[in-house]
This record gives sequence, C-alpha cells and structure tokens, in this order.
Amino acid sequence: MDLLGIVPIRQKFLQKNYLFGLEFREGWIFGRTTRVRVCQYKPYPVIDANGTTVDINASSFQTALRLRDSRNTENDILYLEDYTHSGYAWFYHGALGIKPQFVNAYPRFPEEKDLPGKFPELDPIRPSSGDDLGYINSLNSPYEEPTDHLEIVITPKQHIGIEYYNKDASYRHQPVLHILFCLYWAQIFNDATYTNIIRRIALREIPASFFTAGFGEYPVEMEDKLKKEWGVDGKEGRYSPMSLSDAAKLGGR
Amino acid sequence: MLDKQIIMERVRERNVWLTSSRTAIFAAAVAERKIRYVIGMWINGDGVASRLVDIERLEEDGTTYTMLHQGIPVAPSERVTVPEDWEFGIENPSETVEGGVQLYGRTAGGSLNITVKYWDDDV
Repeated sequence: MDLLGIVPIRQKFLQKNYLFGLEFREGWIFGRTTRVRVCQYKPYPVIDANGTTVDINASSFQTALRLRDSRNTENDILYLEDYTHSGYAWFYHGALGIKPQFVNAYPRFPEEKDLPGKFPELDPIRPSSGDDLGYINSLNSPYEEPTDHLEIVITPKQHIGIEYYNKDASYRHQPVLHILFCLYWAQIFNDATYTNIIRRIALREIPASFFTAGFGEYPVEMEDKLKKEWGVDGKEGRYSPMSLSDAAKLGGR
Repeated sequence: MLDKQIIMERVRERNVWLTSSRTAIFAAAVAERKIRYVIGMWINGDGVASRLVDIERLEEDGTTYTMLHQGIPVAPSERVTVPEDWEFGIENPSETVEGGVQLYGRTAGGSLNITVKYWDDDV
C-alpha cells in the first residue's frame, strides 16, 4: 500500500514512553505510553455468536458480529473489561486487514453506532445493501498488511461490531481477518505537574501522536466512570478533557 | 495498480457450446462500470470433422457485431488457442471488453466447446 496518507498500521504503533493526545467527545486528554504489547490474531475466520463459521452467500449481507474468540465465544477479542490495569490506563490501537477482496466489512464503533468514512452530506451508509462507502476491504486494508485506512482506538468497556457484505455475484465467501492491535498501558497527564508537557503537545512543540476514540461524526463520549478511573474528572485539582486551545493555554501562556 | 494476487483471485471461467447460431459467451453483457480482460480462449475440436469458428463482439448499441476472429480452423482432435499460439498470462489480455459489450461465437457447422478465462477490473 503506497498511497500517500494510507500506511501500514504497524508504522503507527507507539513505542514505550511515547507521548499522545486522545480525543473524546468532551475534549482531549494527554499521556505517555508506559507499556506496549502487540496483539495479533491471524488468521481470524469470522464466526457468529455460536462459533459457527460465517460463509456469506453471493451478493448477500451478514448482520453485525463481534470478534469472538473461537476457543470461547463468550469473549470479545477487543474488549477491555477493566478501566485500568497495573495502575495505568489502557486502550487498544490498531486496524483490521481482511480477505477475500469480494467482502466489504462495515465496522461500527461503538457497537451498533457509528460507521467510518461517511461523507458528511450523504445519506446514511447501508451495509445491508452493500453500499460502496464506509467499508474496509482487502484493497484498502489488505489481509497481510492492515492499514490505517481505518485506524481504530478502543477504550475500556466498548465493543466493536462488524457487518459484512459479499459483493461477489457468483460465489460464497468467508471473511477472514487479520486483527492487528497494540495494547497500550498509559500514564495519563492529569494535574498541574504536567502543565508544561501538555501545553507543548498542544502547541506541537514536541512530537506526539493524536488519536481519536471512535470514527463517527464525533468521537465517543468518555463516561463518568472512565474519567474517574483515568483521573481526568476535573476534581481535586485534576484536569478534565479539554480543547486543544485550552491545553495550549495551560501554564498561563 | 492491482497486484497479481488480487488479479488471480478475480480470474473466472466460462465454458459454453458454440453452434451455428450466434452464441453468447458470457452470461450477460459486461456490466457498464467494468472492463473485462479476456486472458485465454480455447476451442476444442468435436472429434468428427474440421470446423471453422467466428468470434465477434456485440457492441454496446446492441445491434452491431464486430468480427474479432474469423474462420478459426479447428481440427477434430485439436485444442486451439485464440489468438493462435497466444501465451496465456493473467496480465496478458487477448481482448479488452468494455462495459455493455458481449462476446459471441458461432461455428460453420456442428457444436464446439469453448473455454474463456477472464477477470474484471472491479468486483
């Protein structure tokens, strides 16, 4: 994939002690990675809730499915049950590769909600009709090399659901995914101690990756419990999610 | 550019019997939004007599036939490549068939079997 602006997702994975900003609907939070784990599931033949292989008929739709572990279908591969781990915030960052090329995948995140790639002025995307927008397939995110065509950030307590459409008019196909994510443990900068570094990230004075939780018209909301657990609830001297302008003004600048 | 693996996955095959009437080679005219690359055509002799075969395009107007290969000689026990001695390869199309166009074949007598391999520029 040599298209400008679309790169293999592995090129965007953070190393330890890398800075980032993470955008929620309420605003930005900032932090640095403390621990990084690459999590790969390949091949992942798509299964339903019963663990049955999904083989989609020609020109047909498959309703939304979570990415369940075939060894125990109760488990959602990309779900984080706890808000924190080892005393750190944590979240997934990665992408999906898919094959064969005849199958379009329409991810919704949060589950049953937003689809990516919507042109703002167009009517809603209809995965059930195999609409030619809002999908990933093996041309924009190849199975062997998942790309940031759809860069996914999954925070705790969130599921991702994926619908599929087989565009092949003649043959059935089973979607097979390459689930390639990084799990980051992160120190969230949440009080006056980090004023300077937050301001410098917001001003782009130091390198930092920018992430967005969700890929719809708006980022996902940061629920109160998550704010509290990640220490960005605005109480007792702690910051709450803020705009980049407010972040740039920290420290009285 | 499509890479070779993508193209290989797209290769499809049609096998039809050509008669002395014009016989459509594809199930339908190529979809308007696509271009179809024919990468191989083989005609089998009927084991009885030498035959001649024509391959034509039916243009998008639905009435104009354009001759592509006229009077291809096929001996009874022969398997003929069209064009003659064509080197088969997924990136070496012998015909490019635009959207709305159909290919037809017919014999000068008897029924002959033709196999066509092709791929489309889009799924």
